[in-house]
Amino acid sequence: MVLALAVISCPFYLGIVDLRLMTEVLYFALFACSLNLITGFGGLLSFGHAAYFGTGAYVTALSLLHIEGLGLLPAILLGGLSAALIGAFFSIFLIRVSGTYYAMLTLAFNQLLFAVALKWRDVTGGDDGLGSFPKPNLEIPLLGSIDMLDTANFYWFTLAVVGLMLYLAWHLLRTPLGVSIILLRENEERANFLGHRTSVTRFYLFTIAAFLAGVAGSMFALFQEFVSTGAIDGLRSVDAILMMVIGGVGHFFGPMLGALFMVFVGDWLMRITQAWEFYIGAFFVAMVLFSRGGLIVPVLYGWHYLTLPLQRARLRRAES
Amino acid sequence: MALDLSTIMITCLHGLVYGVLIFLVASGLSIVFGMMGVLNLAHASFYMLGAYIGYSVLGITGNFWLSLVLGPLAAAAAGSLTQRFLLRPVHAAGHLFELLLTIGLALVILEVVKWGWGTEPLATKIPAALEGSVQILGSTYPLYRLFVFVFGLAVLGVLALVLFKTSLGMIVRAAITDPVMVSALGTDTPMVFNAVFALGTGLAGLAGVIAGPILGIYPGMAQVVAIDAFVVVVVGGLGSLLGAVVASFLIGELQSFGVLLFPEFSLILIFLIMAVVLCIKPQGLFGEKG
Repeated sequence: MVLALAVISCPFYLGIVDLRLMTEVLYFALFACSLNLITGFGGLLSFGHAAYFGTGAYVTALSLLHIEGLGLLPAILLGGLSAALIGAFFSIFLIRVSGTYYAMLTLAFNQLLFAVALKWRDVTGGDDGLGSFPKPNLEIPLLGSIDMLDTANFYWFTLAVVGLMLYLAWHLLRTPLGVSIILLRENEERANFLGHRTSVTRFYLFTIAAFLAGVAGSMFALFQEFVSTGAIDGLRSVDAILMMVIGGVGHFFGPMLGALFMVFVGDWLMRITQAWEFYIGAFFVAMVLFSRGGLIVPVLYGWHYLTLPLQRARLRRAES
Repeated sequence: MALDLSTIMITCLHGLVYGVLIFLVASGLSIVFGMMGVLNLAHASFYMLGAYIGYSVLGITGNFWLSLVLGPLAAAAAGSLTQRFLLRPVHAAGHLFELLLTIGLALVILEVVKWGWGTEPLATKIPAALEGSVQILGSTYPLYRLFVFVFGLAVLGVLALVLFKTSLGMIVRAAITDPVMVSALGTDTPMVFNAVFALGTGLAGLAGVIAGPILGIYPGMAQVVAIDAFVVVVVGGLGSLLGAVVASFLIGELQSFGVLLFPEFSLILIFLIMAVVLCIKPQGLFGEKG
């Protein structure tokens, strides 16, 4: 509750620079969270998650550029759906491989799209990227339009979109499909024996994760008001992996914590040192070596001990 | 574009030279994967490390041959330490974390290089003995590139001899097939793993030193070679030396002619080949394990 209030009321106590960083945290949290569905819950490491992030970003930018009078929400939906389409197409091949081969094939697909974005200059602008596309206001029937150029408004809007998507992801894990996804990670052979059609599960998992990453990419495009090959670069995929692992693989809230950490600590390090990636990289290696649960583990412990009296009281009430 | 015979010739030779360089990087990557199941994403970083250390040795001593020894040795030492103190402790946690660790390592090595040598491209001199060019079938070709080709082939020959004709090679090949059984038969497999990892990174370092004068030394050099080496290993088959040889020359020629004939699509073509091979035959053209 307190946390939700703190996130919602950010625009009231944060300066404009920090508020912009917070907006970045939101869509990166969604990006890392969608990767976590595949890696943390499905047990497969994807190396090419930026393929969907980049597709979402490019499609949103292109459709705003070329379709006159396109609304804000349709533009985001187009970005997410085209990423899902690409994801579904790739899934046809991805469901057949596992382990390291899966990682390699996702890398190949990512690089394929990156090469297309780099070379298809007429459409994507190549290295120069795409800029100066309109950023429409949010039109709500009966309430009027909300100016998206305002930083605080855009923050709330991002929060609403990301919040909805995260809720969908959270809900997904509680459906039978979600149970099947976790079974994939635990023991695929046994899941097959139990009658789960794991290839179908994988297909849905990859497509849904691609959709979520695409929406994150759309928000990125709208926020930056500029898209270049950086959005679809393999390094962007590495970013998502770093956030996910630093925050905590396999815990639903881990990647969000990781995104918060990476954006703010990254920004802070960038201001004090040139070699900020060195510290992030070294920290990441240390996490993999010594604390594979991620930053979320101490937070969960802290929460557990803080609420211990409450839990005891509840237990006593239940007994009496 | 008019293609005369001498252009084709030169392009073909360029492809062979690049193929040899890629092979030196990819062979270590492939053997390490076959043996330990670890896809070392930082492998090309050792190639870069070798190149930079070779550059410094050349700068201090002015002796190319010394840099050709010390660069690879330093890369091998770094590889050995990496395997012992970073990869081995994580092994029990599974392949996922081993992969993640090598990503982090690649980032760290990249930053160390930028820190130590700066971000500007560095220029190395070709040793005096290898300067100049030779006449091959009516076209002139730089002697140094020819040296790289012959030297790389020699290394390939020695590697094949060791791997297929000595008892040490037999142990390595056996460990690729079944590491648990080899260790049960009384071989110190952790030590063999460490030695092979060091050998692989050393070969990558060697490629870095000899590639320096041709391909340039800059912080992005690892990424370029990493991608090509991954493609080679995937196409040739993870764990197969023969596959690595064939695929290296294939990719080398493809890169070389691709840049000449269809510069717009050569990059796309490479990844398309990788994706198609992974889709149809994930174990690669010469790989045995599925």
